[in-house]
Order: sequence, then C-alpha cells, then structure tokens
Amino acid sequence: MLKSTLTALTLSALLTSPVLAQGSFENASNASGNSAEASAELALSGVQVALGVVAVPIVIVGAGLDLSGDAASATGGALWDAANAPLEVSQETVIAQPAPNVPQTPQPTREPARETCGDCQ
Amino acid sequence: MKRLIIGLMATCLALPFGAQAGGAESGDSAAGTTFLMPAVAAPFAKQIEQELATKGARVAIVFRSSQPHEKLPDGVSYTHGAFWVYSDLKTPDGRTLKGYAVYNLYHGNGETLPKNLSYLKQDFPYDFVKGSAEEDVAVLIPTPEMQRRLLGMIGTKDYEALHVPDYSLVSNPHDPRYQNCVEFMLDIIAAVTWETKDYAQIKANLAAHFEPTPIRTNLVQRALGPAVDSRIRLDDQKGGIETATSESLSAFMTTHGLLSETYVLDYRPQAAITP
Repeated sequence: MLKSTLTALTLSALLTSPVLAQGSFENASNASGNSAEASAELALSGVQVALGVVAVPIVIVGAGLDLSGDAASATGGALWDAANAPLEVSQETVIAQPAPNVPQTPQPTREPARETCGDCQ
Repeated sequence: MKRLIIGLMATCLALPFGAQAGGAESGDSAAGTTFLMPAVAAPFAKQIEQELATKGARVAIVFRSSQPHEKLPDGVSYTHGAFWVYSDLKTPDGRTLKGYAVYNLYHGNGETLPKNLSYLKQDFPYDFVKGSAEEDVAVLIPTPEMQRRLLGMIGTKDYEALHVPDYSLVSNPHDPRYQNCVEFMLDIIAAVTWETKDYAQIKANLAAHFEPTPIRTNLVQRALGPAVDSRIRLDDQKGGIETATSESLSAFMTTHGLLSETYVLDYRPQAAITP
C-alpha cells in the first residue's frame, strides 16, 4: 500500500510538473501529416498555397565560410554591404509535401504506357 | 516510512506548479493544448516573413511555444526555435517565390525514430507557426556580419556535422553528449562566431562565455524523470539542471554584440494582408 502510494505520488509529481512534463521543451515536428487537407483548409481561408517547393538560400557572394581549420576565417563579403535592404516576400503560403512514403521492398518496374508513347519501338 | 511519504508530499506541493496554481487544472500539462488554426497560422507566418523582410533580415532566429506560456517553467518562454533563411522557393510549375525557409532540429516521434534521437529538417514558416500554442513568437535578428556567416554555414556539411543526434529535452549546453534544438543553434552560432568546426573547442568556448538557464526541479523529478520520458536524460547535468533557452541565447548574443535586434512579435490579423 505504502509502496503503491509512493509510486503514484512520485509519478504524479513528474507528470504534472511544468518543468519535465511532456512537451515543455517540445522540439517535435508539426509538419503537415496531410498536405491535401492542410491545403484545402488554407484555400477555404482564402490563403494562396504553394505545395512541393524546393528552398534555395539566396547566397550572397562572399557569404561562404571556410571552417577547415581551427582559426579559419570568413571569406569575401564585399557585396554583403548592399544585402540588408528590404526584401520581397511572395504572398503564397508554402507548405511542405507529405512525409515520404517509399516502400522498403523493390517494386515492379512500371510498364510504359504504350498507348501514350507513340514514338516507342 | 510515514515520515517519508509526508516529506514527499511536502516536496510535491513545493513544485513550481505554474499551471496548477488555481487547483482545478491539476494534471497533464500537455493535454488540452490547442495549436493555432490554419486560418491564423498562415497569416501569422506571412506576417513574420514580411516583417523580417522589411528589416532586410536574410537570417533570423525565431522561437515559438508549443505550450501556453503560463505552463512553462520560470525563465522559459518558448519551447522551439529555428533558423529562418531568406530563400528562393522553387515551385514545381517553375515559378520562383521569395520567402523564408526554416531550418529545424526535431526529435523523433517515437514511431519512425525514437524520441531520444533527433534529425535536421528544413520546412517552411507555416509548418513552424502551426505548432505554436500562442499568438506570439520571439525574434532574434543577428548582426549583418553574423547573418553573413550563418548564411554561409546553414545547410552545409559543416552544419550537419555539428548535429548530435542523441537528444535530451534539457540537454546541458556545456556537455557534448546530447543536444536539443536551442543547443544546436547555439553550437552553430558558436561555430561561426569563433570560426571553428572543432566541437570540443566550441564546447570549451561556450563553457567560458555562455550562461545557460537554470531549470527548477527537485530530487524526485531528477530521479524518476528519465524513467517516465525517454527524452529526459540527465546524466550530462552537474548539480542543478541547466539548458539553453531563447532567453539565454538572446542574452549571450546581446552581451557579445552578435545581435542587431530582439523582440516579441504578436500576431496582428490584418498585418499580413498588405504586402
């Protein structure tokens, strides 16, 4: 009885504490589990959506760092002075594509759609 | 034994129960958390992007809270942070959009990856904001020189090499064993600040110059935490629990002249409508 009371009490203390409670320092992904659903919800809200986007950082000449040594130094940077003017942001809301869903086992190679491949021999 | 239980009960009552102070809300702090609806998250994400762009920020650090602020420990206002990088966003139909890409460290979901391991993932502002339980974020804008250095680092092999997959919710930033999202950003910032990719050197520098945030816990929590949640690993802690937070990262960057600006940005419903 005492043991079970003790266990319940300590677990209760842990689980109700805002310090160590689940999620207090949550670094979990909330990326769209269902992009189609998210896209539809956003569209209903009047939000322009762009799905399946590849991000390419806009690298300013000289932005690269050489960290090859203990005392490596930044390179270049002459053009960076002009790089902190106001920037443009597109109106579309970009959302990530669904999580990858690639089968582990090799899949049969798809036959080409012959009826739409007029030049195939 | 009776005295032990009484003592333990007294200990429990002494916990910093921020959310439970009213008495009625005792119980699971995670249950009932409401994240922002898409109709709020999308314009809020766009508002953040537009305000960063107006300031000419090519790299910023943004924090959200996945818990209501009042449920967080003293000294902790946000739970997740990431680098936001101004980018060309290429759509499948060949268009190029202008906006921010978000570079995160996430822990596993317990299904495809154990919760005590983490991975790096680039997603987008909407993905970031819709995990927030609050209509505000904290923003840190590095100095132009720090932005330049970070832009040359984020997403590179050197950046990936500084990722420590072993994850702890409250990892000690002075110890190399574990990492969480804030410590990873701190390590990246340290790497470009001191221009080194030597992890031991980075940790030595941070031990000398970075002051982590102390987290209040008691002996019971420390003893049983790892058994209750695999993400809680305390063997990297010496004495009290200390970890990197938005507050301690901001203080470090401010003290050492690495920040141009830091502020809390509240959602304003009309702010994202006008370009």
